[in-house]
Amino acid sequence: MLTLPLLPLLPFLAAFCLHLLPARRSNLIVGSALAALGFAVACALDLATTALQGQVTRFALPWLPQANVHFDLRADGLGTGLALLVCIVALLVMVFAHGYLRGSAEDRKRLIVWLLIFTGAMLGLVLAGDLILLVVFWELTSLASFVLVNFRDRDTDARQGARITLLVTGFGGLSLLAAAVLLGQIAGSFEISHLLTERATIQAHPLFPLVQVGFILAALTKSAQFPFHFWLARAMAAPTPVSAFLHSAALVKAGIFLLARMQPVLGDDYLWAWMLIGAGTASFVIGALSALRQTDLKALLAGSTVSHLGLMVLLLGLDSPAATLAALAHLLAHALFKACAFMLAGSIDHATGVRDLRGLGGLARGMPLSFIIACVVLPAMAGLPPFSGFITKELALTSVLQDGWQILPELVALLLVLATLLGAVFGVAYTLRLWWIPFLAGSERSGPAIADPSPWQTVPMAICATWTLLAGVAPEWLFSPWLALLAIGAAVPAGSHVHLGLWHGLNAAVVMSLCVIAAGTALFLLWRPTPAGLVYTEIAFSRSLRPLLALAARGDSGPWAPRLGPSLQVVIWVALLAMLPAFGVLVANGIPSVSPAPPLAWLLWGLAITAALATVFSRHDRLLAILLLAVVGVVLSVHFAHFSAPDLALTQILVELVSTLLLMLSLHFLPPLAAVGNDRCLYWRLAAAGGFGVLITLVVVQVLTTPADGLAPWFLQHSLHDAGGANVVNVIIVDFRSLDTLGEITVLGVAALVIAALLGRARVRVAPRVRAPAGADLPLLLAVVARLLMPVALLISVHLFLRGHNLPGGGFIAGLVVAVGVALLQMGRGSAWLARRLHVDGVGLMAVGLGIAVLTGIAALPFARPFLTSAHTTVHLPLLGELPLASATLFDVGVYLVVIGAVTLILQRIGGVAEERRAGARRDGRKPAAYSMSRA
Amino acid sequence: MEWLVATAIGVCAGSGIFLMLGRRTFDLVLGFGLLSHAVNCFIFVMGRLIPGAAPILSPAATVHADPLPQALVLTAIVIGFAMQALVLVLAMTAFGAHAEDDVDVTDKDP
Repeated sequence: MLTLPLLPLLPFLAAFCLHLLPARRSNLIVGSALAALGFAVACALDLATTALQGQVTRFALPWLPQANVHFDLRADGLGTGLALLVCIVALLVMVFAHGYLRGSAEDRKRLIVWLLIFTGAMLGLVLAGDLILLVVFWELTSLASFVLVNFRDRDTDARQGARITLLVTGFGGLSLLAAAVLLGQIAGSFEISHLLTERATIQAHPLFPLVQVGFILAALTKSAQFPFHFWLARAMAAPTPVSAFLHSAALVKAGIFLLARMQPVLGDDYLWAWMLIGAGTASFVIGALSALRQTDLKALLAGSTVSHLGLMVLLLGLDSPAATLAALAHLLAHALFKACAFMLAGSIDHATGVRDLRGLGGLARGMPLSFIIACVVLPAMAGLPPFSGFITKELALTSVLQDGWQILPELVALLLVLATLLGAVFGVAYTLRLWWIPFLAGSERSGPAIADPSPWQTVPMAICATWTLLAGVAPEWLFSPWLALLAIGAAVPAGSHVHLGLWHGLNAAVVMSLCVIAAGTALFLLWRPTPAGLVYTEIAFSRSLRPLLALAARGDSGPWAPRLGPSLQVVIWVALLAMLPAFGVLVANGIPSVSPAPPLAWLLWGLAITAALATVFSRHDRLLAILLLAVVGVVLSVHFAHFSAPDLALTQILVELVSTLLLMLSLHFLPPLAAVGNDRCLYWRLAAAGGFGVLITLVVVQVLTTPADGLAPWFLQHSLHDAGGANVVNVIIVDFRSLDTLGEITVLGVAALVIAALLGRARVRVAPRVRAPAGADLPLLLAVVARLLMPVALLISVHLFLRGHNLPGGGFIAGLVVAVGVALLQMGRGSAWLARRLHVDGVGLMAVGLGIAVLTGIAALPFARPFLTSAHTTVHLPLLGELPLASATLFDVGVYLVVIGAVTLILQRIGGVAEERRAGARRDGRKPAAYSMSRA
Repeated sequence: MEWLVATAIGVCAGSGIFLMLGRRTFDLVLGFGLLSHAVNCFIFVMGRLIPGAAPILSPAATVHADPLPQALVLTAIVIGFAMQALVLVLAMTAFGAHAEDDVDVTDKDP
């Protein structure tokens, strides 16, 4: 069944494709987004018909089988019901957003892409069949909502709101992860269907309360429940379509979904009931009260959302089938009327430019269609007949009355009923304010802008309103089947059916409803609330953040400042401290017996140490320092040659040559010494450097005096037989550890590209104090010699390459030989000449080389061998004789080309800059700068 | 012999670190070069000091030096070169943008 994985992946795919389109094709972008979402609705409907028959569609791929985590999607009724809701509201909001959004095409595209990403994350969340997968999608919704709230990122409010959203929901995400891992450990599986069967084991575990608290905290933060409700008001800085989607139907409903999903496992327990009933009731009343005191349209709706979600949490806490059904019914009804209410608020905002109740009034005649829609969705929000909200509120009141008395002590149950009534009264009052003040209060407003919005906006609102009306008048058409779908998979026993209807006879709930409506109207008429202030929990939250922020600010100064030297010193000191115990061991071992040194060794030792120290002392005389550095390199090369590493010796000497040339080329683009600031604390530098040197010395002595115990025998045994090469170093590079090499040549290529890009874009400055010797700027002798040497270099290079598998040589060394030839030509002839003669560029060579290397690796796959497995054989060629041939040689060709390409590119770019500047200087009539540097 | 190799590596590493801790951009390039030499040699000698026994198989040779550190160091030398060139170009462009010889120069400065 491919519909199931397609459903969550489709929005992600669409987002990715649309991201690649140019922003100016905005009609195409919107059209494709709508098509994708329309298709998603169809997929969800398809899954829903299956789920409604009680079948659970599954789709599972192994993801981390070692950790028992799978990419497991599971479409039961609860999941598909919510997926359907998410898809439909996403589609409606996307249509609305197209009419609503102003601003640049780039911004519109960004919003559409992120809305799609969010939709995908939300669908993944509701369809996840694995707890870890659920956590991943949960976090994705948090991250996407951060970006969406932060959409107007020039705006301080938006940035602050996004940050608070991310911090609070991120905290919830962490607690969810902890709880999920704990639950997985207890139950032995992360599979949700497995958890459902292990309920007794899970609830008997001593750590079970921790699991419960973790899940509940996650749900409360996500659903903006007391005491975390403050973030929702802050998130109102998001564009209105975002609020209409995230803060009515999707993001905040994720918490309710989590509770409903886990209720069969975690519910039926005191802690569950008390925490949810407590937080839910508090949110229901506090949210409604804060909505009553708000004057900003969106802030009022945010308060109302907190309140309605509180009712759902409270119902889930009551933990009876009837209450759960009531919660799910209210979830559906609320999603549609609240999304529509947000869209209405946005339309009023755009028509009048005002979002504050105090500046609004008399819009009914100017915006008749909006007024009619408001007359449907706002009564539903207040729970008035004959709309969907009335039915669900009746269900809720009945549940509170029945189940509250059953499971709670009498006094608490009484308080609960009173609190519910109080919240409902507030609900009626704030809805009346939201309906009366903008549309009917004050004198009639008119003007060119005061008009109903475009059909792009009115049609989605009208659809929501129609559903709200139909769900109330004829619930059996669209409401009951959807609710029945949601009930499958929630903690509702199969067969328990709730009859949705407007009139169940004169019962307690109806009487309470009438009282609530009367009291709410009276409250609206009589009480003029003072505007709401800051939320206390938010103040506590920001206070608790303050020390953290102070600590972060301190991180920007002192040794933690973003300065290279001090940061490096911290690293070195930490390393030295960590090695302190090892120091002790090294010293305690005493001076081990050593082998005698021949006189030549003493000579080289003296040369290396003198050159290294002299580099430090002569660092202000750059030319000398470069030469001294080269001396160290040459000594190192001799060292390699003596101690049985001919490949290394060759590589080292070639690299030394190229890098010395390169350093010299760069000399006159380096700053003059006069512009240097004070050196930092000298003694600390000396101590760190000295300590490091001593540590390295002791470690090396220790290693050298212990017998070898490495992998060497294995490589030596298998090289000839398994890889057909006698030069074990080369075999390791191109065969045994060729994946390493592939990574390394990639790094080489990336470094060369970065260099080319840096020099291509940045301004390069010629140091003012550089003086050039008079005379020709291109050395004639070198020019001639270099040209003669190049063919020789190529020949040697091919020779070294071909013999590499059996004798010192190979791709790296052969490539470097060519690079040296190119470097000499560059010095002798100039890069312009070289560019004319050299018909390939470095970037192309590197691309071809990397391509060959990767293709050689892939060639092993059709033979059912792992990537980069090699094969070898011996062929007989006329004249040349026996030629051992290995597929690794082809890989080595890749290495060869990448090395040539990278080094040529680096040399050419730096040399090219040098010549350009010299030519520029000549044109300006100044003395040309050259490759030497006067002493400072 | 062991002490000679060890102290040479230690001095190179220490000198390299000392140069890298400074403020001047070119010192950083030089220090990076010295430290590369020291580290490459350090890894190489992890295979011990065995003269005259190149890891090239032939019926005559019976003793071979450890090829693995050699292979690791060979690629490290080439990458070290690329990194040194990168640091050098960074120094050049930093001077081009800010006309200062300071590794910590930021965009806030003129």
